[in-house]
Amino acid sequence: MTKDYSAEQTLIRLAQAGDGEAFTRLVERYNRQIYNIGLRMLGNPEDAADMTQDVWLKIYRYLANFRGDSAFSTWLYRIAVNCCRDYLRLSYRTRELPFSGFGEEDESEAVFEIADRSAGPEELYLHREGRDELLGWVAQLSPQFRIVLVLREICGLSYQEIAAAVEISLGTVKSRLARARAALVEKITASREQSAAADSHMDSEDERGRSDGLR
Amino acid sequence: MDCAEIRQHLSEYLDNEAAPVLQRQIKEHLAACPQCRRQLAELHELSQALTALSEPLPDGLSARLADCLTQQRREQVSPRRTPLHKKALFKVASIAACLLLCLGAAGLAFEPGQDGAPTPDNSLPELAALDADSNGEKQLAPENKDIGLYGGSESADASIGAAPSDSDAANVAEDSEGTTFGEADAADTEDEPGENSAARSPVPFILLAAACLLVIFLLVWLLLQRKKDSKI
Repeated sequence: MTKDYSAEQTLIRLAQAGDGEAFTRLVERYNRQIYNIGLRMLGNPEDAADMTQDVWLKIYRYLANFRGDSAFSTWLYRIAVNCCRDYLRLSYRTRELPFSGFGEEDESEAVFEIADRSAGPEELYLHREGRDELLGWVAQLSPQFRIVLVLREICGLSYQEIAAAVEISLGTVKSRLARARAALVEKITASREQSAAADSHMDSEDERGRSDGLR
Repeated sequence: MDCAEIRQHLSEYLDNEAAPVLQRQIKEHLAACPQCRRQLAELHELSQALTALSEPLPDGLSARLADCLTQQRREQVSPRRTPLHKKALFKVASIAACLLLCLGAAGLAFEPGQDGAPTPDNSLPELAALDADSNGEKQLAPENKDIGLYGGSESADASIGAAPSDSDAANVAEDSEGTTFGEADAADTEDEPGENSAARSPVPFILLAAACLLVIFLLVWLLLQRKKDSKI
């Protein structure tokens, strides 16, 4: 009998029955998204890889308990988000910074962290251009904003899925996403204006130099 | 709605996640408002740039995961298989222990004379009453009992002495010792109590002893199993 590995439902059922090949297919399907959640939330590839491994081990261990009450992806992303939260908590503790998870205790939270990031690898991204500059800003977002943005933009989850994975309300998903995006747009605009001003300054310098040379 | 309000909802509009009415209102507004259109374009551009931040899996991560999962599978398979295998054996052993216990207990309960043996004198009146219930003629029973209790072979002699005519019954009783309990019961009703007890009395004790041994064996097994589990 040939097994049909195309449908996710089938894959899950086979994996639950102990089919290693089916589980590998599930890993292939979601691995990149989970790794990228780790990468953007934890800020470095080593932690992201460790987290990815932990997530899959957890899924492997608890797959038998998955009853299909929610979508598999929702269940999987919730595990990933929880795992991510544990890693972040540890990392914040070692840096002696407060970390309150992704919940919605106070909605007056700042979009960007004003924390001391001297120990963070994100420092490397600062003062660069284009993609790297954007990475730096994303890394500076407070975790509760960053997780929502990453799940939406990098993993492509719907608002409903994000709400379920992060365990926040749909309204919170909307407002956090809107605020995070607005803040990033503001940064980008400011940066562009700055570089445009610098360019025009350089241009005028150039012109002055050229005209000086002509003289 | 004015521009400020519209801009608050542009993010969800971009994701097509606004309520249908709102989605339509924003669309109408955008058609007429170039500033808000530019805002939306900026959001759209940001969204694309963010999506492009997705990085490919690093080399070796897939292989590392595969190794890790294979190891996990191996670890899970062995402990999972043993309990199943053990459970079957464990169940059989437990049921056997229960059966032996029940048979032993029943053996003691259904032999009024002999099993009361350890405290023969105290229990005499009651036993006599029981005897009277089961058999009309059992006034002799108490005397026989004592003999039966204190020595197996002697008691057999005594019983023969007490009822020499019932030699067939004695044979039946002897058989019952070696075979099953039901036969012993049958013998009991036909017979004088002294005779049966003398022939049968070790059986319940052997059964009970076997049950105890089995229970001890099961407990040791459980303990060993738990130790093994905690190690894993």
